[in-house]
Amino acid sequence: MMKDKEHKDFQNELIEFLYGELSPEKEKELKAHLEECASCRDTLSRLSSVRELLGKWEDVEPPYRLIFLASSKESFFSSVRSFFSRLSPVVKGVSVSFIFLFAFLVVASLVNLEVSYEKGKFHLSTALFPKAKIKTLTPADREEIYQAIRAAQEETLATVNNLLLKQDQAQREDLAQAFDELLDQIDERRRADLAYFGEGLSYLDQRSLLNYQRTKELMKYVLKTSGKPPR
Amino acid sequence: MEERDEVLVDRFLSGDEASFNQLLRRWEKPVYNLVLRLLGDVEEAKDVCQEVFLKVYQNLGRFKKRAKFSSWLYQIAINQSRSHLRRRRGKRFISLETPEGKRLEDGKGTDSLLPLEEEVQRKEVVALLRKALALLPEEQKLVVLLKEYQGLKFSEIAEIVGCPLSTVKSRLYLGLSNLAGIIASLNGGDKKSLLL
Repeated sequence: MMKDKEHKDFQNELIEFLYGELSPEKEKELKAHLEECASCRDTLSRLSSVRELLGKWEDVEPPYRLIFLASSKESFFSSVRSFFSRLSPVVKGVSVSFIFLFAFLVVASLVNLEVSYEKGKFHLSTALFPKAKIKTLTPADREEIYQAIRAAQEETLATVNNLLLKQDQAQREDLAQAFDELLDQIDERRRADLAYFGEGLSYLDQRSLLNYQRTKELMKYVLKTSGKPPR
Repeated sequence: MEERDEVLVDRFLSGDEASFNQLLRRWEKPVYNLVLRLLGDVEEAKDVCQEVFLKVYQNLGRFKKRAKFSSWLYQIAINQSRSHLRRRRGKRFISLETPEGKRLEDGKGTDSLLPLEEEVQRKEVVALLRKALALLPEEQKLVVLLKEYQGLKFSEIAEIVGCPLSTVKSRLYLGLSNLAGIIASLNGGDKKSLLL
């Protein structure tokens, strides 16, 4: 049977034989063929040589040691994942359905979903952006608004007047105080000047008295020396 | 008796986080060696291995027990290596003529107990294989690595790579044949003598 095959067809058998995975019957047939076929013998020898050479590249020990350190604090997601990986498919399905239902309810409440069923009519509406209500104003409303505006204006005016009055008062008080201080200073200065003037006068008075006494004595002496009694 | 990978995965998923370290100890070396041979760089292999196990840790909950854990793990390792190669493309240039430098070493230090001559010869063989594998089309290289170094069955490789059994065998055949040719040309064109 093998004799009819091309050399190319023996490739797989040669490879299986080379690695000892050829069935005993096929091995017997291949060996018979190899005895006759020099080309296949040559191929086998060549492949065996390559294998021999490849065998010289030995395995080596990794130049490191990997160690998995179990994390003492498991992250939330990994703990959820490991929890779910341990559940049975049915429980997983139910849990996932509940999660989806919960998520749907959250979304529905966020968009103000309204669902109603009345007299065979199903009604569904969302109000994520509710329409703004427009109210038409009546004359009474307008009057009320104007009054409110007027009251606010009056209140503002009163407040401003109050503030101006207070400021005016404060300015007046400041001015009066400044005048008082100025008058006090002038008075004090006048008193000091008068005292100084008084001192000058008393000095002049003393000097005049001295001069008088001196003149009087001189006159006495002149009279005494002239022989005439003083008048 | 060692517990099966799938038992450890179950334990990890039910809260026993130490089981992950057992998986890590068991698969660290095979994954590292596969990634190292795919990328050809010790530092990059280290980084990609970390990414692989991080990805495994994050996605273990999604692991379908229809497949073997090892097949799933190898798929992740291959995908991470591929995306790393895509990111690297154009950013790094590896000259095939460059003598073996630190980045191209096979992971074994110079403090090996082998005699110097043997050590040098071994390093030369590794360098030659690395160059030859780098020149192989990716799908052939992957099948050669998974079969030759990870010792997987053809059916497991077909599951990991996602192709029919016959395709795996023909890719392996082509891969080994092409390797023979590449190695011969790298050795100076002597097709008869592949070995150093």
